[in-house]
Amino acid sequence: MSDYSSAIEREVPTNPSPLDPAFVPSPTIEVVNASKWFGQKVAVSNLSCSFGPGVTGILGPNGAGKTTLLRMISGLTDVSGGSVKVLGVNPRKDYHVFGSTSLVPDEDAVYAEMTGRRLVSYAAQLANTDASEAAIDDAITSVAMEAAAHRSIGGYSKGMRQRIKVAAALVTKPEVLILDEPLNGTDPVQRAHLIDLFHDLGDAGRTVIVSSHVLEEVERVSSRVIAIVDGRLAAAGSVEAIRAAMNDKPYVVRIATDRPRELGAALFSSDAVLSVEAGQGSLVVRTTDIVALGRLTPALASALPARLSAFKPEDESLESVFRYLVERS
Amino acid sequence: MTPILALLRVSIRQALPVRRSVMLAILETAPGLIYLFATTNRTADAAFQGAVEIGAGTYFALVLPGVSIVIAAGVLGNERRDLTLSFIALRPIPRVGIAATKLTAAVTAAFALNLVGAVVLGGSHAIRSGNWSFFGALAAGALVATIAYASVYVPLGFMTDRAVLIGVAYLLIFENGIAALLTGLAALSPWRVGISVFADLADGARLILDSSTAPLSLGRALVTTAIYVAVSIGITTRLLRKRDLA
Repeated sequence: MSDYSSAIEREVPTNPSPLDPAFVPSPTIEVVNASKWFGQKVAVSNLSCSFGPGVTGILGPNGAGKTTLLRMISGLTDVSGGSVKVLGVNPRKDYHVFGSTSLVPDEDAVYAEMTGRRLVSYAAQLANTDASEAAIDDAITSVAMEAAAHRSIGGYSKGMRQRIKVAAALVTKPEVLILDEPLNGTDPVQRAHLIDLFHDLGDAGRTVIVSSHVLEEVERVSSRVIAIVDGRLAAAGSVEAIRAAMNDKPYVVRIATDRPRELGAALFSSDAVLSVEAGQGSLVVRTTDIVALGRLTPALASALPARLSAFKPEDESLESVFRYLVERS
Repeated sequence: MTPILALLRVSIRQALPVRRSVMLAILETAPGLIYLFATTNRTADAAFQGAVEIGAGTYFALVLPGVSIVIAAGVLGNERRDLTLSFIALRPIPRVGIAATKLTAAVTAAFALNLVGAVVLGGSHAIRSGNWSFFGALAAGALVATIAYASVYVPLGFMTDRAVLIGVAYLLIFENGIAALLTGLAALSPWRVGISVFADLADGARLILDSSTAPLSLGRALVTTAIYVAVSIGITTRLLRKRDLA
């Protein structure tokens, strides 16, 4: 059974292996066999993973269970089965933990009549943390909202609302920051700014969880990814590790050459090659063993002889990994 | 500012949006105006009887419950519906603290509006009779009734989106229907708890109001209200602990 398969089929991860990428060595958040159902609908099913300092991305299509998982972690929603511990306690039982955690929800859950500055100040007051002008300024500056901070939130764009919610979360200086689709509605400049901010927080030792259904975002934000499909853990680890673990998934490689037909015919005789598609100046090869293909191709090109100008895996992006995960599950 | 004070201040402000507050304040003037029209050219005794039966009757049985229900049902219910509840729920504040603060906010906001009605009715009667103690009794009864209604409708507003509809039906069917016929149930009616306080404090009012309208003594009314408050905070605290908040 492959590592990837073991992740897919995991049922009860008692004593998880230290090498299991769904778990981290010093977790601040532990999710053990957590399930959540709403009537007949199962939103999260027997999911186990842990989170530690640094940025972790939660990836999944809409309806995969990402938001439900984040709500369980944040303490907004109770688990139907299993358990969730944040900083060693059940967030549904011990409200003190909310002094160390912050949630940025996906919904437009903001007080439209408040100014951005008032929202940030209110968050600090509710958390009983430093609500001084300097602290409020710091939080607002960190999301580049100084210019609009005195305006009513009701007049904000989606991206501005997202950013002011992030500021309201940051002003409490949380050890654990949970962000549900925080980049929704942000423009490219704002997005880059927020991504840098999340990296800085992760580098500073905070546990930062960022969910998204936009694959490119997660790839840019996270050093570690938890992929969820249909409420189940589909895969975990770095993008590269997930990709490498899926050794039963064919790799697609584009090879640029001046003799695509001849090189394709030669490659097809190899057991490592599943299919070859020759085109104008290049060929697309599907293989189960990219390392063997990497060794074989120059040798065959030299023997023909053929000139090689590129050897490029086509599906290293998170999107291709994710598509495969969805298909598999 | 402590978390509780911050929550209280914002909750009161949210409960009193300008347009709705103005509409409800106008509604509050109705009992006083009805009293003025109904008692024109009456004797002092007849005017007092009108102030108690028509003025206080309309105020306690219709206007005060309506305003209190609308305000109280929205104090937690609106935040649950517009999903801002997470903003206060995920804070290091004890759930019982949130429940008590929300109830206090509902009482403060609703009483601020109900006081308008008491001022208009009490002031109208004072102008006619020169007696301001009537206003004091109205305000005290209004405070108690407001607390009782808020105690019921803060948790109910959290439980269901139809709390106001349920409240209106309850007001018409139970409070002004069944409880009026079955005097044993009258003591459970929040506005009767309030008017009982008024009846004990306004000289001569108890002689006019029958026992099905003002069934409790001042002491029993206060104890009943305290029970309402305790049960309300208990239920709201439990809901905040047990319910999914989003």
